[in-house]
Amino acid sequence: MTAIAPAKAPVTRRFVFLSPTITILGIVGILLLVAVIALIGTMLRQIEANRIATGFNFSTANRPFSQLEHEAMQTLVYVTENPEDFDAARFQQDLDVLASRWEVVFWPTVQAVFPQDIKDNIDEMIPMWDSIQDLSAEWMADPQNEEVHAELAQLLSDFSLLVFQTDVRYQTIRGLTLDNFNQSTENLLVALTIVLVLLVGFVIIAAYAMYRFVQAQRSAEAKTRAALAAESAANETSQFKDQFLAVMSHELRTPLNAIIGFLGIMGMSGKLDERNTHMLQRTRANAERLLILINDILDLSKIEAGRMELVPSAVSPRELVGRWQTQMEVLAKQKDLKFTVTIDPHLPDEIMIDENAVTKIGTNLLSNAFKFTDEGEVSLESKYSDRQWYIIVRDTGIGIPAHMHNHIFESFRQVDNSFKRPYGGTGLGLPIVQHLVKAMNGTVRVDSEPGKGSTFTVTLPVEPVEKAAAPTVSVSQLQPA
Amino acid sequence: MSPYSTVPENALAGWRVVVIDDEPDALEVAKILLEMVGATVLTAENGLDGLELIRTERPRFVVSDISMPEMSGWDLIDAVQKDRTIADIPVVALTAHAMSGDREKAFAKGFHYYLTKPLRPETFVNELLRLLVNDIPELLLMVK
Repeated sequence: MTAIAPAKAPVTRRFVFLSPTITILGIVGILLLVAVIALIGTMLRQIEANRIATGFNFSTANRPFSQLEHEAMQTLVYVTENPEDFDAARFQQDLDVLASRWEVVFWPTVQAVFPQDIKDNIDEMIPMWDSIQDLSAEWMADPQNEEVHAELAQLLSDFSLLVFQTDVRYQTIRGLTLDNFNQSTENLLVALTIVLVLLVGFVIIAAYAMYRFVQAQRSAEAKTRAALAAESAANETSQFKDQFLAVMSHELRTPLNAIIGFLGIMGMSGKLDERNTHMLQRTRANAERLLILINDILDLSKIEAGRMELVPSAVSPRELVGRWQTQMEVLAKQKDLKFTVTIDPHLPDEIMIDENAVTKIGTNLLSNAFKFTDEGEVSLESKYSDRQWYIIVRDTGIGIPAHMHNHIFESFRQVDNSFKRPYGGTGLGLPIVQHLVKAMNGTVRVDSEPGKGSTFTVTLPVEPVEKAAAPTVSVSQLQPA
Repeated sequence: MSPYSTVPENALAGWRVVVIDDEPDALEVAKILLEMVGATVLTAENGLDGLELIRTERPRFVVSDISMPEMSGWDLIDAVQKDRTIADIPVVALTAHAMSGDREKAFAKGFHYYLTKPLRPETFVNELLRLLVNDIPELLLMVK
């Protein structure tokens, strides 16, 4: 007998975000991004610094000293070579250009990148320049003055030399800085390329990991959904089964109530002749048989569906036995069999037990006893000792061969399974009894021999219900003092 | 009280009893069986009419089906319990519902007793009265 167990849904881990792979990838990605940003920032700063350091812009401040030196030399050449046709205007022009080149040296942007030694040189140049200005003015006023002319020429020459030296120094520094810049830029570019390649590689790996992760999620989700769907389908099926059983149970019993009811009433009227009484009895017997079949089928369906629950309640065992007796007395009368019922006085007044279940056990055993007994008697004995209720059903029927003693408890097995089936029935009574007895933690035993009748002993552990002793006083007992 | 005896013919003479069932056949069977022991049986085919009948007739006890149109047995027992003028009348459920839990539900809802269909015509009255003896002590004297 199997009960339906709903499929269990696979556990899906919702916290996959905390899985190690994802965490590591995340950390690495963040580090790479930070590295890239830092490198780019450093590079930009470096470029800017180097740009300033080398005066690397395309203005006239690019080569301040070489230009200054060039103009100084031009002026010097003019001063030394053409004293006769002295052109004051031309000379002044030269001086103006020279002055503008001199001013460039003092532009803040140009000054900003001078190291200390070049600044020292400039300090030397300043007084020289002043003197050049003075002497130039003197000579222009008197071009024939040989002394002034010679001094000016000398001064211009010294000045040019100093500027030239400074330029050399400047170009060297600039070259070095350029080299430095190129090298560091090169380094940075290499570093940046490496990091970018790593970043790209990381992105690819991360993308792949995400893809796999999403796939896994989806398949897990699909599995969960499938499992849930299967579970709800199973639930629906068992719900449908429940409903079906309930409806069938109700629908089948209702017409039988009318059939058995009217047949019984007709039987009790006492107005029927022998023939009609006989036919009535046969009809009634068949109706009862139908009822038993219905009950057995429904019981077994319930058991198979795992829907048979035991619901213990406080019941009086004597009352139960009494009811069974009342029920079976009809059968006894019909087959003209003796039917005795004995109840142990030690049986508690009330016990906790599932009334339906134990009634089924009792009535199934009894109806079997009556079914398989054609003459003699059936007896029902209720014994009690040590919290065990012994229900013993004895009959003087056809008996059961030893090799069948176990098989009779299997569904649909009867001792005689041939098509003749003189005893009828579904063969479900005893399996139901055994299942119920087992569910109640009891035992059922059979003692039988062919031709010598059978004895079925059911043992059920029972809990007696302690009744609080409440003294009842009836009105008649109250008397005035 | 012995469960083995039969009930004498006039045991419920003068008793007014209400039986409620939407199946006319079930109604008739119960009616005949109760009349056989002398009871006056009033019938109703749905819960609403049944409730009305209980209120106007104040029977000694009521036998009622559970699945009925208009007003089910569950609603009927609710209404009876809420009405103080009739809440003391014992109501016995007589129903074809025999699934596990039906009996417990009936008691939980307030039915005093519970019998399943198909009833045993020969023993129906006997069983009924045995159940009701807690509520109607006179029955002790009758059903020996």
